[in-house]
Amino acid sequence: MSRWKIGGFVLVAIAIAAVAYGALLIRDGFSARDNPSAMEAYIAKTARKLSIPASERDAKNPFAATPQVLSEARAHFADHCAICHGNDGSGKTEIGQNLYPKTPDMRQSETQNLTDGQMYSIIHNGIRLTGMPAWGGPNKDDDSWGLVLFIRHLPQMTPQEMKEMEPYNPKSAAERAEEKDEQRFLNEGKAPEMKMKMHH
Amino acid sequence: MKRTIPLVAMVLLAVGAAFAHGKEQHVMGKVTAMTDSSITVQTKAKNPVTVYTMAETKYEKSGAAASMKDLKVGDRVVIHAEKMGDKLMANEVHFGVMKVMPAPH
Repeated sequence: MSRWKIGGFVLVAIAIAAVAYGALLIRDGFSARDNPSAMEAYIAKTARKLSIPASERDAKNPFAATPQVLSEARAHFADHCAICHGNDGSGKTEIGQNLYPKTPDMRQSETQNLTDGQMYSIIHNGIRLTGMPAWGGPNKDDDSWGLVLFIRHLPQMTPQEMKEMEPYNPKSAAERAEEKDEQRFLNEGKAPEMKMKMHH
Repeated sequence: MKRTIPLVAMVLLAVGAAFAHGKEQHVMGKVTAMTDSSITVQTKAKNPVTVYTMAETKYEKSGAAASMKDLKVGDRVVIHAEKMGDKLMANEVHFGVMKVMPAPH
């Protein structure tokens, strides 16, 4: 069999596989409830890895993990990231667990084994077709390097550090009012009036 | 519509001071009974609500980490719970004095 014929068969096989995969996707719908298949996760992770140039992957964090830098990064993370990732980086949040793919537990090796440069690139540029937005502008940014240090610190987070993050978590006016109601009840025994709340 | 309004009111009364927060409900009241794995709370609507505890349940007394044994019958409590099947499971149990940190500038 000539090389052209073999090449032709391979191309046809790839086309059939692609059509079959597309048909499966359409049949199963585009719901965000499922987990990516092992193949989809492998392709996506490989593509992400390849998309980060070696110079960026091997870049070293220009900042040291000083208490000041970590404190600022904690506040930044609580304000911008925790709504999906959680203050503890576990990803166990309502949004995080309903995204496709679900937000990872960043305390685990899958995240911790990334290089500083890979983490920076993910924060700065985001990841296409996931819930991860690009947080950085066109130029390099110091905040993303601070967040890399914070993510490295996640496995050693203390309850006190978690507590310090809470005031920085975004809250709606209704949530703040609810918090006040709870505070009044615990501190003064004044139960709030029953009211209907519109939550999703 | 006429039937819906009383139905909603009945459901609200049945859960007492339990507010939904996403998938969470906030149960507020006085502890009337406790077992190793549950806390029964008398809510403002005078309905006892039993919330079950889990290994992951976090306890906070006056803003500091605590445990279930720090909680006593008669204490005022706010429980953030999630419905699992027909049971309410406690994610967080707050009691003592609650300090709300001011929002940062």
